[in-house]
Amino acid sequence: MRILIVEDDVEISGFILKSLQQHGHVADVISDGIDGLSAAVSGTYDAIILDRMLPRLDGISVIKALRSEGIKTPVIFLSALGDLDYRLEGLKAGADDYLAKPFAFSELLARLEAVLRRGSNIDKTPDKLIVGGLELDIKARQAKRNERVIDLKPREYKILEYLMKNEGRIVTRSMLLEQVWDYHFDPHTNVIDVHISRLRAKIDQGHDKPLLHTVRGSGYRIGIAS
Amino acid sequence: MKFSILPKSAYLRIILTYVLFTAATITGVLVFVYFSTVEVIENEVSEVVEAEIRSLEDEYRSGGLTRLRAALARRVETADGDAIYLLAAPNNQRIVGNLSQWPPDINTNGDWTILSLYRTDTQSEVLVGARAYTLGLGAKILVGRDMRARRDFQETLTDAMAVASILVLILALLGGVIFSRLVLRRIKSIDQTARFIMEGDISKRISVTEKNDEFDQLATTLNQMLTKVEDLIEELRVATESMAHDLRSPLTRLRGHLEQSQVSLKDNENIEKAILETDRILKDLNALLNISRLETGLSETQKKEINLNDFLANIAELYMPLAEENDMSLSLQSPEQDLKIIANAQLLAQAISNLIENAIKYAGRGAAIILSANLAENSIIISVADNGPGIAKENREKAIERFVRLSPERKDKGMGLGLYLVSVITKIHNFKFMLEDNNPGLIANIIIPNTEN
Repeated sequence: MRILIVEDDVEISGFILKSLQQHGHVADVISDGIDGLSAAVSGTYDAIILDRMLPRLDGISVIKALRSEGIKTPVIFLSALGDLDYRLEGLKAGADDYLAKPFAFSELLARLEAVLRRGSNIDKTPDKLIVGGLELDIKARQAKRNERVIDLKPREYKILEYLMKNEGRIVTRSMLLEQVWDYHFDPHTNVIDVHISRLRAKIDQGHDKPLLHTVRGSGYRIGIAS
Repeated sequence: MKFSILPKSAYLRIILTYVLFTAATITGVLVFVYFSTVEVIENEVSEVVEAEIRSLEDEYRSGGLTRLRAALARRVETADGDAIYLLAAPNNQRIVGNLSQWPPDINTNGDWTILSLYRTDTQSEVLVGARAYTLGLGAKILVGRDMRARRDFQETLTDAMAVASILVLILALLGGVIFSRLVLRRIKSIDQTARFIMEGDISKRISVTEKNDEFDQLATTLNQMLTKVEDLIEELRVATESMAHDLRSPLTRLRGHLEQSQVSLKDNENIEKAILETDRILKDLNALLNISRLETGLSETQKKEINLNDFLANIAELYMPLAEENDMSLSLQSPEQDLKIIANAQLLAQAISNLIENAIKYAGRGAAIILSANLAENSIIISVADNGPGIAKENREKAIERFVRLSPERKDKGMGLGLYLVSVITKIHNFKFMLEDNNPGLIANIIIPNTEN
């Protein structure tokens, strides 16, 4: 995938660039808002990582300009300050996700993958999600594995739905907390892990091949390959 | 000693002192006025009498007893009611005069004497100031003045003084009340400002009037002191914030390097641990920065109406499995009617989540944690209660402070910001946060004043 990084902190952009390359992506780095905007308008990028504070034109203005041009490239908005307003401000301006600095690269990567997926099948909302023998009927809000119905609590269903929509991709704990519970803060306990292990018990118990995997240091992934 | 005599309230003390002082002054002045006035009048009378005697003596000297008699008779006739005359023979026999007989207790050496006499003309007992002399042939002369007028004056004066004293005392009482009100009002305003500041609003200042008196000087000095304290607090906040901020970038880079090593080393356990440790530090620094930013306040646009029942159910649902995993129970008790509050949902959720995590950390195995909302008279109370060991009364206030961990022996992770964050979040909402005894255990209350009515 081709990613545009608009970030004036050389250390951070360099680090993002290197990590993206390690994960097989191609990326360009631009360090000010105006050049960033013209690159985003003219170039063909799959996603944009955009900092809030930029020389010449701030990140919010860049997104607004992009969206008013009709350019729908997914944008992950970065901000040094985890302030309450910045997230909402960024999302309202048209960003697809928001990440407060400092962040773990795995977090950025997971979110990037998620917005890339959303960007590619934006019109498709399948009635069924299928991973291996696991089948999620979105209309009936029902999960089955090998044709056997799994009894899920509403919240467990939401977790599973989000994981399956991101099949094969890492979903971090904070992504789950945001998507399933709509909480945007860091808990100081392994509260998400407990939910996941309960869900795992329902999905994977009694089956040879586990589908719900823990990715060390990052989060979780649902998929056939371990 | 002083306190046993004077009342403890400064208000009453000032009034009492004021009245006592005024009473003493007025008494002194009146006593002086009384005696000097009365004495002056008496002196005047005695001098008049003296002069009259001199002139009668002159008559006697020039024309003998006959002339004196004539002069006296004339005077008796023409005299006003107050004048007393008596010329008596050596045997005290009256020769001429308006006095029935020579009074027994008067010396004839000319001394001023006050006597009670019987007047023949008015047929009445009168008080008389008089002088008496012996003339050449043993005859005696007495000239005096009826002192009734003086007595009347004295009485009028005493009455006037009594009325004046009462009036003055009433005025003094009034003055005392006004005076102490004025003084204490200023002190009260200082006291009130100090209370506001203690409740956390350090930007408050004592009002300074345009009088530029000692109170204004005191207020100005205190205000300057407050500004200095506020500046120091701000400096500390900025220093903490910039320290946390400056530490974040190198830590982020460190984490990045570790992540890259992790890729090349194929899941090394030590690197994994190092990443977790770095995350913990970053988390704390972020919490510190968040608090620092939150302390600058919350705007109305950042608050929304929240259905408290759903809101708490959501949080309880998140934490129930974690509590069970730790051999505890977490239950939700919410009232039947829908409770609505105005708050920032993210922040309030974070505060309650901190309280629940705290209970899970410290309440111990088998503990029952209850998250509840209750409608009190003028408030809604959100409580997180447990039946664990609780916090000793003397430590509860301390537990809320920044960087405080009550059990140093516990290998507790983090900087001790959890409860402090709760207190900051509640403070910027104008809610109250209190830790209380749950008998046994701890109950953490977030008190939301009812603003609907």
